[in-house]
Amino acid sequence: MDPRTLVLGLGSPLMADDAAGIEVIELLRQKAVPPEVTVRDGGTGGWGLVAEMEDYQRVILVDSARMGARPGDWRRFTLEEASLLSEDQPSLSLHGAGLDGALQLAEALGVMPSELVIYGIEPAEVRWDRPMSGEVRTALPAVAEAVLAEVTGKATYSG
Amino acid sequence: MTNVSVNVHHLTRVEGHGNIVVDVRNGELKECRLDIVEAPRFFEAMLLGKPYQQASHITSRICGICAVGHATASLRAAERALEVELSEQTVLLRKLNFHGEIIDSHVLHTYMLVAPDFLGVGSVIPLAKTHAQVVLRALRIKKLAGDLCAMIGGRHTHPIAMCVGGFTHAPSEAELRAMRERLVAARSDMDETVALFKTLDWPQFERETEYVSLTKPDEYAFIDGQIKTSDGFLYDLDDYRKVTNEKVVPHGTAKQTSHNRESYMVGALARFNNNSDQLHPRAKDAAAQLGLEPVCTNSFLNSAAQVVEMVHCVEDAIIITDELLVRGCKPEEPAAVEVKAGEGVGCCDVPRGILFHDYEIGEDGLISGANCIIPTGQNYANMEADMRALVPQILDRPEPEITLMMEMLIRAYDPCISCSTHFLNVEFVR
Repeated sequence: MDPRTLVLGLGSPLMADDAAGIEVIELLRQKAVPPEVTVRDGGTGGWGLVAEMEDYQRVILVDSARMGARPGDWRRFTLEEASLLSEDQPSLSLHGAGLDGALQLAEALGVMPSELVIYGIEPAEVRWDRPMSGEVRTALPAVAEAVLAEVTGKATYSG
Repeated sequence: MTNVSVNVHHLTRVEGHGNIVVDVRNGELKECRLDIVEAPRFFEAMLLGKPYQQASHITSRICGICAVGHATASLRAAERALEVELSEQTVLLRKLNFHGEIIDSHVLHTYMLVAPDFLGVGSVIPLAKTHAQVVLRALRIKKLAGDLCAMIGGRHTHPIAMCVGGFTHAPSEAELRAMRERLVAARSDMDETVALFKTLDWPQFERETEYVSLTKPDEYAFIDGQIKTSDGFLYDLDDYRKVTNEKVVPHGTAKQTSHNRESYMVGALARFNNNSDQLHPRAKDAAAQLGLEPVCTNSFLNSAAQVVEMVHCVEDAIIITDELLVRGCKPEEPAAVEVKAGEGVGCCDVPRGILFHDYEIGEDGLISGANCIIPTGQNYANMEADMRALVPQILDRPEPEITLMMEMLIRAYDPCISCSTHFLNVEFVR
């Protein structure tokens, strides 16, 4: 079994709190991450994420997520614990493809990594040309620490 | 008499970002429009006051699909403003990187968005269940293209190694050799792709329009060159405004463009119509198999032209890789830049069509003016003209069929609407 782990941060640095996922990746780059763990800024990859995740047994996604929580609150969850709200409807443009679609596609193709974990960070604001909110920025170091603890085996989770 | 009302509102889940509106009363077309919001006007503001070195990194984040295209156009704008000459190696690497993105975008568009309509499934998710091998092939091609871009651009999705004057990183000989092998192996996937798309029953729809693309004397153009139109016009890049003639329309926040007619079309079909003589022989063969001949006036066949371009880009990528292996590819310093005031137009024919970045740079090296015109802005008027021509031809069909045809028409253009949001919406299971 391929033991490799991919930590993939998602989002756009140009859209305020949508940058949370990739900012966590920047923080992780400054830390001692085990060599078998790939840390990657996935940007706004859309459908392509399926191909990116393919080679890894374990994938940890870090993304901004509307979870009905307070801005800056973050949560670790698996797909069993949450439903990603999306409709399987044909889009008119590739630009409509997001993580939810990519995960549905991976599921349909049977190429989901055997372990998939999502760290969601509740945004205050997601729009062009705005800086990241203070609430989200303050939360990022703790998210990076939690991801690091998970990939170094210092934190264990059941489920 | 016929009353038809089509209101498709799912380009993105964000209200107002992509609606098709068709309203027919008593057999008469009352309203037919596409509402879109495009983001680049925000980027123009975002670029102001930024150092010229940052522009390509900012604009490459506009979207994850045309990241290399925006970065390349941005770099060319700054390089032309500052009169920076590029090395032969840089030009080759830029082209190779660009081919990667063309393949990447076209494979996603043709397989994930276009094919499901023809194979009788609503979207790519059910397609993955009924035709898993087809979707897995698409992902295999996508992965090759993504790895090609990462080998040169230093990162998947959003390039980091591209800079004004060149690259901060060069692929090794071993990487180039391994990539060459994968490109050669991809020929069978390309053959399968052509075989699949030639079985599709493309809608019959013809409407003459003007086709606008880049052109070069010695190659099928994607970066630099001159602007060519199928109505017989040829312009230098600095004269791009003579082609685009932007104007604001009341619905939607995107500007519309027109040149010699009420609208023009950009993208794979425009490039094919203007420059098909310069395609690689294997791509010409693919075009023949797909029944594509210039000048093709069926917008639905933009997707077929994308298949032809994928074949071309795989072949040309092999040729460029060979050239790099023969001449040697070594890390080299980016060309020296002397900061001064200037204006430059950068132009690339990205997957969705011709893209312009026009920058003014001040003596301090900060950007003091920016104008970005994206392909979808230019196709906007042409999409609406196509809709107005198509609706009367299909009015006798049931409403769901009319809706599907309109969606398929707009999908053929794969409009860039980069304001679609990417964050997750999550509901916890309790």
